[in-house]
Amino acid sequence: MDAAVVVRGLVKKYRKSGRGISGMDLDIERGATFALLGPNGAGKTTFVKCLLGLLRPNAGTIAIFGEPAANPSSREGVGFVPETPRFADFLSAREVMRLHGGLIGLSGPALEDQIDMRLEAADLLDAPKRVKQFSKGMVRRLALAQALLGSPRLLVMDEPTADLDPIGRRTVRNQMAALTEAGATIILNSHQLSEVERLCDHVAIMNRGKLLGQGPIDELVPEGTDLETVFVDMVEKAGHSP
Amino acid sequence: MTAVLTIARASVTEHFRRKLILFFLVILLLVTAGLLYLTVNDSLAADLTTATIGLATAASLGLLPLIAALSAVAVSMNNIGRPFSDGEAMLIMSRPLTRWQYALGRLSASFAVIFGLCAVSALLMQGVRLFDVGGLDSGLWGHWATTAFNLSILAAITTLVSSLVNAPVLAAFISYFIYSLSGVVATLYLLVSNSRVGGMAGALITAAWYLTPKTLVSPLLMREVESAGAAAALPGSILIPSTAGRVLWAVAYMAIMILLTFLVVERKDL
Repeated sequence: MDAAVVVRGLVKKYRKSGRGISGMDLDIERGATFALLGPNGAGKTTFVKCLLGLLRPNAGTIAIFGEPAANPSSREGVGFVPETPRFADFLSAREVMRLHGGLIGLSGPALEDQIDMRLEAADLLDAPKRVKQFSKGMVRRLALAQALLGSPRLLVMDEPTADLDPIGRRTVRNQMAALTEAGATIILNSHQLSEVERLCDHVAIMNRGKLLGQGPIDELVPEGTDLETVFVDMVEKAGHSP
Repeated sequence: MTAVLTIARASVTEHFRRKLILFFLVILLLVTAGLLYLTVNDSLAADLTTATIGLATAASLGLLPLIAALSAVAVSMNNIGRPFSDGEAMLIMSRPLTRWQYALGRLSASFAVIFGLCAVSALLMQGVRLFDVGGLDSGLWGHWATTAFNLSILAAITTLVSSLVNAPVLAAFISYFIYSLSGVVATLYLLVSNSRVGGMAGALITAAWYLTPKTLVSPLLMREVESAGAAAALPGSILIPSTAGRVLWAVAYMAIMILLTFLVVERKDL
């Protein structure tokens, strides 16, 4: 298998709560649209943070396109949309895009062209002057726009459609579809199972820091049932406590 | 290097937008306008300063460094703690850059603002001097250059403290306290080095001497103090008599602050 992400024996424990991830093995194929599901506190965001080098795992390894995730260069060609995006309040959308474009090595007219394209797609060309004046939905759209700079080969999205109106959700779906068509890999953390069924081809279900199951969505969900039923069954069998 | 410059550029833009720089520039302009007014009204100026020191020198040694110090703290107190705690740094750190590059970019922005403000202060004070006595004072350039360097040390301390303390105001308070302790500690250490204080107190003062910043002595201050025959008022220059030694101490202290910041930021979870 040609893997975009390989995780082996990943352990991350938070000192205060004792929660986190306890021994995770995972392979995400190149070009897959992969959903990570689980109840609140399952460890999904912790996994994403370890993947992006934002948290230091206690044990185990993660490789992104064959390179250890601890190396900053592994994040070249990686876009990230966090669950609660925050930008410097006093910057404009264009300045935020310039900052992120600069960090991935874009500059000059090539960067300005990309910024125009991404801001137009996010409907932010006529946005207020400062990010602090943005609505939640606009901040989310800006988060997606910056993540798509440089056409990433791996896009990691944590609840990307939360706070978005139906039009915004459709825009996200269309941009995800365009990226998948271009051969990119997408990792999606979401509670919206209908959206996952619609968008993703692979899925993994987590609870209490452990993977309960993973595989192609059509193999994991038997005919005549749906993802929600499979998800609830798995989590209840594992003994979910909120 | 590109990543550091990109972070620094965005941070300087942020400082401008927060109107911090504008605020301090307005104060500088008001002070300059006040000094020019005093220059025109010779009798008022004579009441406020001695005949020899001059208005530009008096302001450069008195009020303005305090304003500059406040600006140094203001542009550094948000460098690490706040962006890490509110998630602003998360998106940036998901890009291909190291933690130390992020910290260095933020700190470089503080340095740029400090040197810019000190350069403006020097120009304005030379203007006052020109208006007042009809000539420039080379000591003023040296004074503002050493002030900029000393305030860079303060910015480095504030950045380190902001990596340990998330609340910016608390970080600002602690940093300024540490910075302003250096003069007091130097005076106390002079007593230890003269064997007038020993034992546990001496050991504590010695430890504090090594922990507090060693700032450069302004050539303007040195000149004024020497002309007044009060060199003992500068314990820092007595304890480290050579200029090269003081520069070495100051550079080493700042380097240690920056390295400690890198170590703390490297271990910080997002």
